[in-house]
Amino acid sequence: MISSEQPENHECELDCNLRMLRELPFFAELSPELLRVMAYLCERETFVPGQAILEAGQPAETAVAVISGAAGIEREGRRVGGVNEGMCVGGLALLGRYRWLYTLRAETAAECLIMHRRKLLPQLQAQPEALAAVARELIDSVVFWDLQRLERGADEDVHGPGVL
Amino acid sequence: MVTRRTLYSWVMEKNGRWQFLIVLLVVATVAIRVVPLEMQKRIVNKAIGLGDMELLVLYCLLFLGSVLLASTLKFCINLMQAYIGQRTLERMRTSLYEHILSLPMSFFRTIQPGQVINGLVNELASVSGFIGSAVSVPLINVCTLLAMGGYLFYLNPLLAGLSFVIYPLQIAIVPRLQKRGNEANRFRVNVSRAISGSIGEVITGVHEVHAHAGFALENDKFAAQARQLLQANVRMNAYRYGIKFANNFFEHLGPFILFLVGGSMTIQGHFDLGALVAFLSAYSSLSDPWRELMEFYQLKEDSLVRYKNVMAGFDVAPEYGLIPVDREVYRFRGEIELRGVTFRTPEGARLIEDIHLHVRPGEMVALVGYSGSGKSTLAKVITQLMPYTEGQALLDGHEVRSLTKLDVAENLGLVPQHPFIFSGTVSDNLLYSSHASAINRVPGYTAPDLDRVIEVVQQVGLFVDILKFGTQAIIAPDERPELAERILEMRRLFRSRFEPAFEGDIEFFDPERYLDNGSIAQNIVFGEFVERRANFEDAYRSKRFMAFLEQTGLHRTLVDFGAIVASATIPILRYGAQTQELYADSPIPREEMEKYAQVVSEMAARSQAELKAPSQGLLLRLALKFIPGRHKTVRMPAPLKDRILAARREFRAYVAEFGESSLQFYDSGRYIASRSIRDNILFGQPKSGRSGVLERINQHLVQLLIEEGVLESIVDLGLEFQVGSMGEYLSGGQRQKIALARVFLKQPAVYVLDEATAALDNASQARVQNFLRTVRGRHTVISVVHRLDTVAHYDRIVVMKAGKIVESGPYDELMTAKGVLYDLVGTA
Repeated sequence: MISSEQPENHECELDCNLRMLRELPFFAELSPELLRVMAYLCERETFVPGQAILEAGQPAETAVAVISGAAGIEREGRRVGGVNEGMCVGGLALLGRYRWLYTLRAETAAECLIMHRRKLLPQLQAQPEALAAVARELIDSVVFWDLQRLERGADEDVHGPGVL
Repeated sequence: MVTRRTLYSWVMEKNGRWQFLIVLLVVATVAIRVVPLEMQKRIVNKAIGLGDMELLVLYCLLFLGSVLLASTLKFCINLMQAYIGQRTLERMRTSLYEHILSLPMSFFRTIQPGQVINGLVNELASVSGFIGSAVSVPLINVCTLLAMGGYLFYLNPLLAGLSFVIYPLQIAIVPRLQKRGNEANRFRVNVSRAISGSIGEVITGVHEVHAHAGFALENDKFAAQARQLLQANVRMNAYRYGIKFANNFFEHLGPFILFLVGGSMTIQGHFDLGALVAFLSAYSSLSDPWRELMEFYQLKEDSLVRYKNVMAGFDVAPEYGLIPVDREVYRFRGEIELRGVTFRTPEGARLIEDIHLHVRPGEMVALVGYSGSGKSTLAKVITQLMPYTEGQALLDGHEVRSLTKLDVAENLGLVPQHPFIFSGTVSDNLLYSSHASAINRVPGYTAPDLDRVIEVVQQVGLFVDILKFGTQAIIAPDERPELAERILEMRRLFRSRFEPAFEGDIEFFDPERYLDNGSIAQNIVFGEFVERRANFEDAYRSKRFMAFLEQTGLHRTLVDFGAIVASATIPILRYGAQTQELYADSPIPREEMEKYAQVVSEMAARSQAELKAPSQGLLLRLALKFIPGRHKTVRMPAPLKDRILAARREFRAYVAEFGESSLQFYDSGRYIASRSIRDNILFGQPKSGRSGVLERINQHLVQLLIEEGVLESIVDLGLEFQVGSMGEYLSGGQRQKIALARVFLKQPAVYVLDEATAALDNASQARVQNFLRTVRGRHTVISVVHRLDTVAHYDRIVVMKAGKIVESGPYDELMTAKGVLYDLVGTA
């Protein structure tokens, strides 16, 4: 029989992507087979320092996970947060259409895993239970954020979707 | 109006002389056809009877000559009939096309492109046959019938009278059948139109069919329509052949009566046998013209049905004149005044209601509001694309509905959110308005020169795209040696200046380095095929290349590697939903997935040596296509790369043994004919997964292009880039930029932008806004805006809600008032 096993020290890009996706909460309930397909459909992109990874006002069409390096979140030209190695933004963009509310800019040379909605969503739609699992995780995240905001008490006129 | 013309009005228009000529030719042909009959008689009675050889040859030659002449004349008649039919069809189509283009937008919302195509191309085509024969066929055949009929009466009035009894019967029955046939034909035309419309719709929206896997759904719909068309065709043909049957029957009813009555009269001694035979012979000559008349009748009826149906489908009057008559096209200052303007749909819904708005010439107005508030409708009303149903809309004091299309086109430039891009080049699309102005002979029009085009494409942020298109062009270095020479010089400069800066971004061609963004075949060859269309995918077809792989032992190594790639890739492809994206970066194409899946199954059961030859061939092909920088299921082992690098050197020596080659090896001093200008300058290829690398490269390339004096040549090449069918090779942003540039080049008094920058990146959007600021005061701008962060610099913001204007004023004023705009900005 022909062996299709590869030497362990020669991890391919697909395996690296898979390792990254396993860490993401919204993919936590996906079957290993589907997760492998998702990993296969992800793209890696390298950004130079100062380069915008996502731009405010542009259609949100991807989720982005930072493989290495660091990026800053900017709103109206002001840095309001950061995204470091292993962190992910834009999970909702996998499911719905909206425009970015912030700019994500590479602060160091950054390698990112780009998850395109047009590639990943049809795979989830083909397995409704998987789509429901991802949606559930994303809803939990939104609820968690809202809870945090309410507990901080920062917003007086809290309105909009996702509010408890 | 063309749709109201009768079919017969086309028959004589501009065809009178031709029709007359055909009649003359037909008369001549009929006369000449008598000659062979006479010659037959003379050959038998005279030449053969008298045993005169010379006379026999003469009559035979005359027989042949007359047959040849009659055939030639018939050929000419056919040609002329076809010519008349086709030239009339051309006029008919052009007039109808012109009419269709002038129809209101509302008409096009109710009809599918396929229906227009079917009417204009298919249904009208069969009418041409009728037009060519409309005069000559009935005229000649009626004349022939009358002559033959007279001759029969001359022979025997009683028998002639009896034999003619059939014709009134036929004339009474056949049209009734034909009437039903016409109805069946009309139904068939309608079904055919509907099916054409459906095909057109599905082709236009095929991306949705793919996105929703609506293949079975659409196939079912089409199958139902195809069945309906089948039934309609069968029914129509049943009537058509029924009529033929009736004609045939009546044709033979004549001889039946003649035999019966004439025979009995002969038996009773009232008629002699010779006279009966002569009569029967003369009667048979009636059948040809009668049959032709009957066929002509059928053709006429069929053509009338098709013609009327097609014309009825487009029998709508244009809402506006196309070009001004008795005056020149208006030149407006750009003043817009709307007084109580309302647009009501035929169902009674008011999309905009009681709009009062005065826009001064040169004013910059933003229309904002929630989705469905009527912003776009208002923009369309101003640009005459939607007719307002109440109130007055004035442009420089002229009622919009009184203006011709040319007045509007020359004074208003509309950029829609989803502009249409025509197939052709970028330049064709940019200059579309300009070409239209030239053809319409607009007074004072001057065509924009290249400098002006460059200025405008820079204003909309399209310049970089055009340079990209230009640098992606493939040129023949022997046809443009100077440009090729300059590009080689740029290659040297680029390498010397930027190699370290682009080390991570570009994979430079280096004989000692493996190309991660090239296939294994490309890495072995380390060159290109001279023939542009040849590619490395097909390397396995080359016997010489395969012999090399065998000779070096690479064959086996690559089959092994192909097996690894197949094993790692097939499970993913089999498990995933079968989308286009799944195969976008797959070394295994969708159409070969099953084949490779079988090979993988075979591998599980057999050793490599036992694999069938075709399976080994597939694995070899897969390995040769493998690109480490793109195909992510397997990491290519370093020893294999080293082995390929060694093979690269061996291959060059191997090819040298054979002399002439279809390959061009990478050589830093030679232009690579099959590669783009950019690849030639880089002498390498951009690495995948490097964000913004092309932009960074382009920035440096522009500088070099200017230095080497080839910027204009590249822009020219970029402008000649073929955009594909409906602009399929362009991004959404590029399409909008082209639409903006197309209107900016025209410099109309009023710019109407309907979310025209929605698909643009932030930089291009800012560039367009800057441009609009520069034209403020000289051109009126009405802009339907979705992104409210771009409206602050407008002179006035008009806020719409539920079809009405609810606020209007400068940005700061409205924001201070904390009204609807304030809410909109808050929720954006």
